[in-house]
Amino acid sequence: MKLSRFKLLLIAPSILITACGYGLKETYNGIPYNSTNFLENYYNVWNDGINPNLEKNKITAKKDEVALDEETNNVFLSLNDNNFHKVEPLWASYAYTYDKDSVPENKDLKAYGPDVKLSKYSDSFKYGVTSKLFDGQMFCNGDFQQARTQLEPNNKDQKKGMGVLLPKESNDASYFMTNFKGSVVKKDDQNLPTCYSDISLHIGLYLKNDTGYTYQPITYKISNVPTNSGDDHFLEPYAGRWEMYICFGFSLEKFDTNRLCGFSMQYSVDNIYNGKYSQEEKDDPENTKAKPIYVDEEVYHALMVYEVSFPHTTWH
Amino acid sequence: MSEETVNKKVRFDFSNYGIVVGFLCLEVLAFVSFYLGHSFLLYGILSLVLMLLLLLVTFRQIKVDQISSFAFFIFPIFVFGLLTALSRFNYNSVGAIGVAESIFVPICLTCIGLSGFLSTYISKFKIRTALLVIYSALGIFVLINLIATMVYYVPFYTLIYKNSYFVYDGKASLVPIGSMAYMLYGFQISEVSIGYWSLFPSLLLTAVIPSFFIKYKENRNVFLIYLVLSILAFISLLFTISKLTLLSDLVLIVGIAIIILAGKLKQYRGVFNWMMIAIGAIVVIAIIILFLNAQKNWGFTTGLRNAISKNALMDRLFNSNRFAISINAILQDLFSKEKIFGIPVGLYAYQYENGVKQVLSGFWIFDNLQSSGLFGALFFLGGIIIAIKKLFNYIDHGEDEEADRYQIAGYVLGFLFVSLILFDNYPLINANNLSPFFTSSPLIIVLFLLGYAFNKVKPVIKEEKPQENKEEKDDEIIKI
Repeated sequence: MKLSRFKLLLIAPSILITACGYGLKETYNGIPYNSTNFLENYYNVWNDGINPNLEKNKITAKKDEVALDEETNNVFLSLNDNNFHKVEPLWASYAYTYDKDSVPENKDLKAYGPDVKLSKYSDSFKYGVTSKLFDGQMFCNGDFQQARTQLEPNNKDQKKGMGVLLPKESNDASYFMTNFKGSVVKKDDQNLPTCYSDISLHIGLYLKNDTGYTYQPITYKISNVPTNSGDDHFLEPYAGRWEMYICFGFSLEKFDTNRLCGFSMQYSVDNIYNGKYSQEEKDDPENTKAKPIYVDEEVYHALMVYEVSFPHTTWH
Repeated sequence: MSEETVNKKVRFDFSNYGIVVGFLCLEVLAFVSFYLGHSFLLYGILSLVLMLLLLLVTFRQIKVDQISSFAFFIFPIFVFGLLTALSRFNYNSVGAIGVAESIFVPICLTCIGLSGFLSTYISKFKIRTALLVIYSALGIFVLINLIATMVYYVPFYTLIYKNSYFVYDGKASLVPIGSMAYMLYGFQISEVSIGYWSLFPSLLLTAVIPSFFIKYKENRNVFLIYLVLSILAFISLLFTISKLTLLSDLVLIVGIAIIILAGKLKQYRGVFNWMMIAIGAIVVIAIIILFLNAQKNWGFTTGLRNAISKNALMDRLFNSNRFAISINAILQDLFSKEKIFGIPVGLYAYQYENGVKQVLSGFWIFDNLQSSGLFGALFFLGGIIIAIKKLFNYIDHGEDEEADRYQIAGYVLGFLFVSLILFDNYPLINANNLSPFFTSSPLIIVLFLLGYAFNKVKPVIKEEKPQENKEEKDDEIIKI
């Protein structure tokens, strides 16, 4: 064999070898957002292209903000909700109390989270901290900060939350779904009291255009978000676990999803209550129990987000 | 009638199939060299089949004195395998190898050693071809591993991302990026420790040895193949360089240099022998110190332990590093009943006396104590020492060409030494699969080569020696 052929054999893999590096897309000095200190786990990361705190972001168009309507947008707060049945045509074929690695006892059913996770559609969703949101794990299962993304509420000066540009684009997203619960830590004694939060959730959809991104802001007020409602890891077997989470979602039928390529999640805390009260009870001036228990200065609040998905979507 | 008998004999003379079994032998060597992760059971079955076929083909040629001499090597290996199989450590610890595979430990180790021995009787079996097959399979394996790793990372990532972590599919990496690499483990690409990954290119680096003995003009293709394999090994090690691999590779390069120089400069053989003896003596003294230092229940070792603790360097070497800590745990109470024959069947690993936990150090000499007991480890060491002594005879008086003899020595010694530093019993980052030293494919190849070298030593003509000595003496007298 001629020597030149050997040279070619060496050059070809050398070029291939130096051209990759998939595992280094996001690296961190130490395990990221895995601290025992509550404040160090806030994930306030925005992709530069859609970061509202940056003047040089690439948001070139903004649509009018939409306040979601329960009827018009089929908003659901639980997977038992009728609106969920309207947006999810396969709802009867899913088991909802099973998680990432577990298999439903009824073999005819599929576990919901693992079947609608974004990473199922492409491995490109598996990289980075936000892959925690796309892995199909909808419950804590004792994994704590390794399973969830901890959002910080917006304050008066700065928008917090997260903005994620997805590695793929879609034109046919049918509905948006996210699964979360609240958490609160008292500033003075670091206690984690069990309570319920009223929040205003701000979802952003980002559509690719010729020059950058079109931003579609969406808001919805959610009452009685379970906050510090215990760890489902100790519940047998999955009894009542959905009581601890809000599975929020809405239909994207009324929205333009042409070249959908990103989303953002922000929220602000309206009030925190020591129990679960109806709106009538909260509005009743004589009801002394249904009154806010903390003000912003007393506590650190967080939204623990476990999963985000655009189920049954084709990604390009 | 007599003609018919002759015809029948010819028909059932299996020695005619020597070429077929020789080819099968090459296939098995290629398969084992192309490492398939946790496939020891498969290696065991293949070794058994190969040994039986070789026996069928060669049993008429086997000489009693040769096989009885070979028994000094293979019997201790068999005893080691048997004690390993009986030790509950191997099928009762986390991610262990299982009962079925444990039974195949003595079968595989003995059969592959015997296969090496029996292959010497097949005239069509050429060791140069076998070595080419072994190294080529290893080279393809190393190339796959390098490409897999570089798809995920970049060259020199072990230095650039030494303390960095990444998150994949919702889970943060358990160890820093610089401490892991991607490898074909079984039938899938898996994350493994960088030490374990480096073991294979380090072994491939010994392909440089024949390049010093084969002349390019005479055997151009073979020369170039080994050169390319050496370059591939060098690139692999360079791209994944770290403190651990640098240390092991330096040891290996020094070892290779000694082997090549010993081959080239025969007049200085005495110096090399003394160097080897000196290195061996240092290792033996270090093991004795480690052993005595670990015996916390022996009163007379207190003085030594205090002396080691007070000296910063000695303390660092024998007490305060992760290897020394685990070796101390293994060597502690070495003469307790659980550690002499290994953990007996019926006793669980965690039922050790004195609460000594099962630990593995990564040094096969010490890990054999844990997985096979004191007797098992000593039998293995004894068998290997006998075989290495025979290997040195083979280097000097082997029937094969010089390049092949030194290459076998390079592979065998290279693996036994480098695996002392790089071998990881739990290679997979994201799983607890125990992959002990005695199930590793390079060891199986080493046993084959040792078995082969055992029976390929030219008989030394003793009668000529006194005359030579006499002449030398006469010369000396004249000089005086």
